[in-house]
Amino acid sequence: MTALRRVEPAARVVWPPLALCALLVVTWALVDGFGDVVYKDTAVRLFLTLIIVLGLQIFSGNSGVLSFGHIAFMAIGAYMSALLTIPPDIKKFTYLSMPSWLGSWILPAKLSPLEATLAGAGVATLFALITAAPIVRLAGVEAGIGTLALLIIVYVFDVQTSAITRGTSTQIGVPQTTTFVSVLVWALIFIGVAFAFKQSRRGLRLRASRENVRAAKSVGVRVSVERAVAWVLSGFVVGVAGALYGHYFVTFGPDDFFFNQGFNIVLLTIVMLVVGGMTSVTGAVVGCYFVTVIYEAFRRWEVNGLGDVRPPSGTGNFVLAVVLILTLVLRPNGITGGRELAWPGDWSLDSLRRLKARSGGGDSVAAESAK
Amino acid sequence: MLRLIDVSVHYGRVAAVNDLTLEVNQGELVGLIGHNGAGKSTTLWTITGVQRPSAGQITFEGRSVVGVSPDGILRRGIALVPENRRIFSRLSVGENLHIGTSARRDRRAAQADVKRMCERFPVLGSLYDRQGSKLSGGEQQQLAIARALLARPRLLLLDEPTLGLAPLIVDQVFEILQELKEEGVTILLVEQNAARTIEVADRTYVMRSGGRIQFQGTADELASMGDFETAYIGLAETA
Amino acid sequence: MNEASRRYAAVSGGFVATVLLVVLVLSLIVGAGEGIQYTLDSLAYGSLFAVMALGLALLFNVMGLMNFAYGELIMAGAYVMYFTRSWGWLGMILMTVLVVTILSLLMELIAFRPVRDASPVVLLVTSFAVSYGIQQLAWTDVFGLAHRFDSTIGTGPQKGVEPYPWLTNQFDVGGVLVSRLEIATFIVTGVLLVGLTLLLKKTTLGIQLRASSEDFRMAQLTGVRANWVISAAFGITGVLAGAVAILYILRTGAVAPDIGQGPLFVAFVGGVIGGLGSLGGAALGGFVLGAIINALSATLPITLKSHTQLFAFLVVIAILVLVPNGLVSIRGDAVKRLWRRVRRSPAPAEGAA
Repeated sequence: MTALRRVEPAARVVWPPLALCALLVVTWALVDGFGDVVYKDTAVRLFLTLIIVLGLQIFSGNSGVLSFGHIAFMAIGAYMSALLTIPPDIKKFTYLSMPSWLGSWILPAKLSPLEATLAGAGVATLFALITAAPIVRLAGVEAGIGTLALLIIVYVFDVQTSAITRGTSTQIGVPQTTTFVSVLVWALIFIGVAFAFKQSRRGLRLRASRENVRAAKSVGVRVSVERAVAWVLSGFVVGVAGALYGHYFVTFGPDDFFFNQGFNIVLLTIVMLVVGGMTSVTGAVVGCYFVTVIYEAFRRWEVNGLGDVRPPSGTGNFVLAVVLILTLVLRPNGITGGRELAWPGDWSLDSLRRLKARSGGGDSVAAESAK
Repeated sequence: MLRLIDVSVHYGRVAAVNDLTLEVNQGELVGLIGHNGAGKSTTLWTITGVQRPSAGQITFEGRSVVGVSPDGILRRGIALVPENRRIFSRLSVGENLHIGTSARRDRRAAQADVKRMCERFPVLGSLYDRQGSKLSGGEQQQLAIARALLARPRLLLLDEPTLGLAPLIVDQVFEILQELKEEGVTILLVEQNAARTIEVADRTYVMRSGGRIQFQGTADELASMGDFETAYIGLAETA
Repeated sequence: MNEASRRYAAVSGGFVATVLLVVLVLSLIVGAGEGIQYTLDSLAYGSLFAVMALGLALLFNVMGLMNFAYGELIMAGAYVMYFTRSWGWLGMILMTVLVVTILSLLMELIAFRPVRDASPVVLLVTSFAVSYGIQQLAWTDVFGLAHRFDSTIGTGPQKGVEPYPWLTNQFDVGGVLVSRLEIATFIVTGVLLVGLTLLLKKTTLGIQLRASSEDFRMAQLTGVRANWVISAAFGITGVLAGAVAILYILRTGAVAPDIGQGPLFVAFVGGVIGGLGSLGGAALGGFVLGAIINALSATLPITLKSHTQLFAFLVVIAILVLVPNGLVSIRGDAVKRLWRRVRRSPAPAEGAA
C-alpha cells in the first residue's frame, strides 16, 4: 500500500500522456486490423493533423498567442524533405531551372526517409528561428495577422518560385515512404514532447506569461524568449508533420498548405485545438479526434448514404460548423476545459459536477475583476 | 436593505470569499475595510452581478439579486462607483454623466438631474466638454460618483474611492460621503483608509483573507474590542 | 489640441495624403493622364474598404470580436442581388440591405450572444465556424443555390449580376473618364461614414456604443443594456455590409460562395494597420490598403505583381511589430517611442484591444 502511495505522484504525472498514447495505439491497432484502405487513409490523416495540432498546442496553447501560420512550417517541411528524397534521375528533369547554388547539393541528394524528415523539419525550424523575433512581440489580433502573413508569404513563394517548388504543378517522384506506423510513432513521440515542454520549467514560465504578462515579467520571466522557444519547437513539430505528409500524399502542391474548400487545414487545426481545450495536450488530442470523427462521418454519409438517406454534398461541413458553435457555447474553454486527463482515482460524480459548473465563464470575469 | 447570507465566491478552485454574511440597512453608511486581497472588491463585484456567487444568497429589498445582469442590478437600484473610477476616458464629462442616466425612464427629470449634478459638483460643470482622459484623479472621482448618483440608486456601493488621491481630495471625498449620508442615501463603502471609514460609518465590517469577517460594529464598539487594537494597528499600518 | 481633434486631424490628413500618394504612384507607373484616371477608380475602391473596415472595427471595439463571418455578409448580399435582379434597382437595393442586416442580427443572436463572455480566442473561432457554416451552405445544394438557375455568365458555380450599363458607362469630366458607379460609390460611402460619425457623436445610442467599446463591463454597470447595444452594433454593421456588397458586386457582376473572402481580408488587414482601436483609424487603413491594392493590380506588369504580394506582407508584419496600435496612433514623438518599443518587452497574450 505504501509502495503504491509513493509511486502515485509520479504516476499521476505520467498518466495523461500514457493514456493518450494508449488511445493512439488502440486506434492504430483497430484500423490496421479491421479497416479498409479508406479508413487507413483517414487514420493517417488523423495522426498527421494531430501532430500539427500538438505543435500548435506547444506554442499557442502555452503562450495564449494564437497563430495562423503553422501550416507554413508544414509546407516548408514537405517541400524540403521531398526535394531531398526524389530520385536524382527524376529531379534532373523536373527541376531544370533550379539555380545552381541550390541544385548542386539538392539534385544529387537521395536521403533516407528519416534523414529527409529531419532535414525538412530542420529547415522549418530555421524559418521559425528567423521569424521568431518579430512574431513573439505580437499578441492578440496582430499576432493573428502577422502569422497569417507568414503563411501567405510561404504560399506565394511556393506558387511563384517554380524553379524550386514546381509552382502550382504537383510534385513528381516523391517516394511514398510514410507508413501508418511511422506516423503513429512520431505522434506518440510528440505527445511526450508536448507534455514534457508543458511541465518543464520553461513551459511553466510561458504559461505564467499567458495568464498575466506583467506579473510574469515581475518575477523575471523573459516573455519574448520563452515564446520564441515554444515557437521554434512547434516549428520543428509541424515541420515533421509536413515531411510525413509530403511522403504520404506524394502529389502535393501549394494549395495543400493553404485555405482550400475541402479540408481547410489552416482553420480546422485551430478549431480542433480550441474546441478540445487550448491549454492542455489532452485538449489537442480530444479536439482532433472530435472534429475528424464528425467530419469523416458526414463525408462518408454523403458519399455512401445510410439506408435511403443521402444528404447533399457539403452538408457535412455545414453540420460540422453547427456542432462547433454548439460545443463552444456549451464549453467555452473547450471540451476538456483546458485540463489534462484526470487520474482515475480522482474520477467521481462530485468532480464531474464541479467540472460542469466551472466550465462556463468565470475566468474572463476573474481577469475583469482583477483590473 | 441589502443582505448577504453565507455567500461564497470562487475563482476556479480558489475561494475569494467564504461564507460571508453582512447586511446594510436603509439609511446606513456601512464600511467594509480590510487589507489588499481580502475579498472586498470581489464582494462588490458579486453584489453587482459581474461575478456569480458559488453559494449563498444575496437579497436586496427582499428580492434575490443573484444571477441578475449588471445593468439589471442598476435598474433594481444599486449603483457602483468602482475601483479606479473607470470613467469613460474617450467620452466627455457631459457624455459620462449622460451614460449615468441610461437606466432612467424619465428623460426630462434625468436631464434636470444632470444640470443639478453640475451645480452640486461645480468642477464638473466647468469641465463639461472636457474629455475624460484629461481629468485629474479627484475630478474623475467626482465624475464617477456623479455618474452613479444620476441613476438615482437606493444603494450606493463605492470601491476604494480614495485610492491614489491626494489628502486634500480625500477630505473632499469623505465630505461628499457625509453629505450623501445626511441626504439619506444608503451607502456601502469599501476602503483601505480604515480610520476615516470607521469615523464616518454607522457600522464597519473588518474583513480578513477569504472574505471572512473578523470584527464588526460601530466606532465605539470597535474601539473597545481588545484584540481589535492590534488588528487596527496592523490595518492602520497597511493603510 | 485635444485628443479628439488630434485624431480627426490625423485621419483627414491621412486621407488626403493617401490620395496624393496614389496619384503619385500611378503617375509614375502609367503617366500623369492615366494616373489620375486610375486614381479615381482606386479611391472609389478604397472607400468601399474604409466602410468595411469600419464595420469590423465597430464590432471589434464593442465586443472584442473579430468577425470573420463579415465576408459572408457580403456574399449573402451578392446572392440576394442575384435573386432580385429583376426587381428593379430600388427593390434590389432595399432587399439586399434588408436581408444582410437581418442575417447580421441573426448571427449575433444565434452564434455570438451565447459565447459573449468567453475569451477572445473562442469568439474568434466561433466567427470562423459561422463563416465556414454559411459558406458551406452556399456551396451545397441545400437551398438549391448551386443548381437552381442557369447562368448567362460563366460556368459552374459562377453566377452573375449583369452590370447595369447606366452605372458603368463612363462619361468625360475634364479629360478623365468617370463612371456613375464611381460617383455613386463616393457619395454612398461618404454618406455612410458621415452618418455613422454623427450617430456615434450625437445620439444616445452612439454614446452607449462608444462607452461599451471602451469598457463594456462598466457600461453595463451604468445601466447600458448589453443586448441592445450589441444588437445595434450588428445591425449597423449589417447595413454597412449591405451597402458595400451592392457597390462591390456592381463593379464586376460576379457572384460566388467565396466572394466575400477577398474583401474581408483586405478590410481586415487594412483595419489592423490603420488601428482597430479607433474607428477613424480603421477606416483610414482600409481606405489606404484598398486604394493601393487596386492601383497596383491595375497597373503593374504581371511578373512584378506576384512577388509584390510577398513584399507587401513583409511590410505588413513590419508595421504590426513596430506600430501595433495602428498607424493612427503615431504621434509627434513617434520615432523616440518606436525605439523604446523595439527594446521593450512584448505584448500580453490577448493583446491590448
